[in-house]
Amino acid sequence: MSFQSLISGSECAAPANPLSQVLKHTNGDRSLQQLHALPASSAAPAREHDIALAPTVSPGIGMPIPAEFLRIAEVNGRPELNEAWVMEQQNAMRAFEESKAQASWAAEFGNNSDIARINSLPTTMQQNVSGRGEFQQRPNYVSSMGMYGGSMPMGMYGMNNPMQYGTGTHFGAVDQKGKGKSREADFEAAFAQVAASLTQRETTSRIEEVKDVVDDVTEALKSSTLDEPENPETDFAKVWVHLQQSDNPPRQEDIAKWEAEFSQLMGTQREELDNEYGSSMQQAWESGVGDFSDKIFGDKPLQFDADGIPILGDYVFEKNNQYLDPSSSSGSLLSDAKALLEQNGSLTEAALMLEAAIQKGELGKGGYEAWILLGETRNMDEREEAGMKALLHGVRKAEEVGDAGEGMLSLAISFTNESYDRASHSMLLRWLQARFPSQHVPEETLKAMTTNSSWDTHTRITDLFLGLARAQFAQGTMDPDVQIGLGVLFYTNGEYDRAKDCFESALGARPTDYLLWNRLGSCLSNGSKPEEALVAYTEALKLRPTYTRAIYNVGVACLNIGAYKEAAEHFLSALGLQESTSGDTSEQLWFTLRRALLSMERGDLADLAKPEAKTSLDVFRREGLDF
Amino acid sequence: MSDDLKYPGFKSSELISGLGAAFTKYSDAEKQSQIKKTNGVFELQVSNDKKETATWTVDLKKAGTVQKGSAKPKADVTIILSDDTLVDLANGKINGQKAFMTGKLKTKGNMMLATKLDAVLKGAKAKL
Repeated sequence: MSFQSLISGSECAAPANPLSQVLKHTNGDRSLQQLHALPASSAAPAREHDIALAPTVSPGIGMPIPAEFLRIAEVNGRPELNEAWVMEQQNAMRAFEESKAQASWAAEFGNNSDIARINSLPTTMQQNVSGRGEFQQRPNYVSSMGMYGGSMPMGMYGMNNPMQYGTGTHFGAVDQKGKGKSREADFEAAFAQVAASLTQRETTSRIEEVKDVVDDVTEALKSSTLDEPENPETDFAKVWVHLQQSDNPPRQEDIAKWEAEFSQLMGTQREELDNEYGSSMQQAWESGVGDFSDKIFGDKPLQFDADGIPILGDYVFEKNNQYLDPSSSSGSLLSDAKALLEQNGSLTEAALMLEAAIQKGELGKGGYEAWILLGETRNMDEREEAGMKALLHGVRKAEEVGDAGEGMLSLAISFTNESYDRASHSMLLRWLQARFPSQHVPEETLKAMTTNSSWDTHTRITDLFLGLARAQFAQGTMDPDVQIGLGVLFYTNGEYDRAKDCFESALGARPTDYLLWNRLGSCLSNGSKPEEALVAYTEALKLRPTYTRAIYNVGVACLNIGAYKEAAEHFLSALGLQESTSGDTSEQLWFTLRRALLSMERGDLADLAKPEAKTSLDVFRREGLDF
Repeated sequence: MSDDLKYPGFKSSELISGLGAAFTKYSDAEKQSQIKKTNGVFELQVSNDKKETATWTVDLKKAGTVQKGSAKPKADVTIILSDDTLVDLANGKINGQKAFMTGKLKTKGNMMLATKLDAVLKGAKAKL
């Protein structure tokens, strides 16, 4: 795989060389060469072959370099996996979207090959050498070559065949525009071979040198015997070397003509590239996560805003909330709720109190406090959807009143749990900006949040957090929240070991924070260390026995160990906790309970375990499940 | 029914047929939730040591099913990997991104979607 060649062994150097050569010449158009980085399958051999043949590659025509290409070149120069990865992905996304363009080019060449005949090529070449009149032909040659040069990388990386076949068609294209005399078959065969090696190097050759190439090719042809088709390369190598060393500037008017045509061609391609990329990224994001009619978020497909944050409906309050009854409590519901939480009371009940408080207008500090607390409580109670909505509301409110940053970490975590990665990154960035306004965030990063893929944004945000953490470390301080943010980032990216380290550091500063214990546990659990996870969860539950989410997680860990019965029992006990207060039960719990029951091969019970069924938990008790 | 999904000689057959079975047992709401999160059709092209290839289609866009064979009309993403890699992925020994970066996993099509494959394959995930 092409990427493999980047990261392993000596091949590392090969791609770097030609590309770094390219860097030296600052006026080359590389919009097409961005398409180099297609992580497709069959690419590697072709690419290396090409690289081997093109020891030095000179840049293309005079066009401004897209910044991305420089980065690619740099990146490819250093086999730094992560960054290269990011670039590759971006380009791959671009390339992916460009596949249409590719197809059209390939098709074009396809057509040409059908029409053209190689046997007339040598003629045109010869004639090019001879007369000025033939220059009319060049621009066409050039533009087809240019296009071919563009399609070349793609040809190399995506489709081996078109490259070979494109070779023929390439010259066929020239021929089409030129004369059509016929030639001896032998000469044509030899030329075709030579041409094959030639075009592989044409990827980024200067147009100025085209004429030389053509001249030289013809020279080489003339001098090479038809009987040695087995070594086209050596002759070619000579030609190539000669080419590199020669520095004939072609005629002025031709350059201008070629450049004009080429730039026009490239210009249109480039515009398509940019537009498509931007909009297709947006689209990929929006369609990537549920633009699909669903019943969960209110019969509307899930939409995302520019930052990847899901646009959720309004918070849905519980219908039968005893605390709504005006006579039920005289004091402040908000403080009651807080007290209940302090005392490790039922999470569901606390949530109901908070809902009532909000509905009665008691919103707490800044109008956001109750919302955020509600969100956090809901999440602890394993009701992610409700929690997310409440937190979103609270976070926005807090931003409005100038207390930005409140609740953002919790919200980011909520997003991560629901796999809204980009939203999580955005939220973490916002938190960073709110909490550390003096920390410089590069303009590029801010822009990238709305356009780039989540892999890219992940790297950027992680770097920011790492920078901050290191700065703090250098000063001898450790901000647990920064560690938490970093931990969430690693967790989102699947780097559970690193996430674990972060949460452990945070726990050092806050040993009684049950949320942190749960988070540590989840890092271990998802990092395939269920036994250790259980230890962490137990700590969390010691500190807060009603922590439904932790109980859920214990069940999950049991599932992963294979202790299905215990898992089911844990889920049932969590459900029991929820049911004992009037609140509704969490769907997530039911779903996972079903999984456990299925694994226990109790399909009958699994069928009962549907939230809609409202099966009494006693049913399960009778079946021998002890909770 | 789940035997339909198995190909002899593939370790991941068990896995896939288990996945298929799980899918059929999902309640509608659960299916919808998975579909909403994933919204894509995956085509898995799995090759084993004997150089045979098995193809499965995981439809998490419309129907929420697992089937043998290629996707009709067309998958959103085609994932090409070896039998062993798929087994590791499901066991959590390797995650999708790592697999990709080390070349164990190749994609054609919407590669963003391939990252969701992890979530689909994995049993249950702990909550942060």
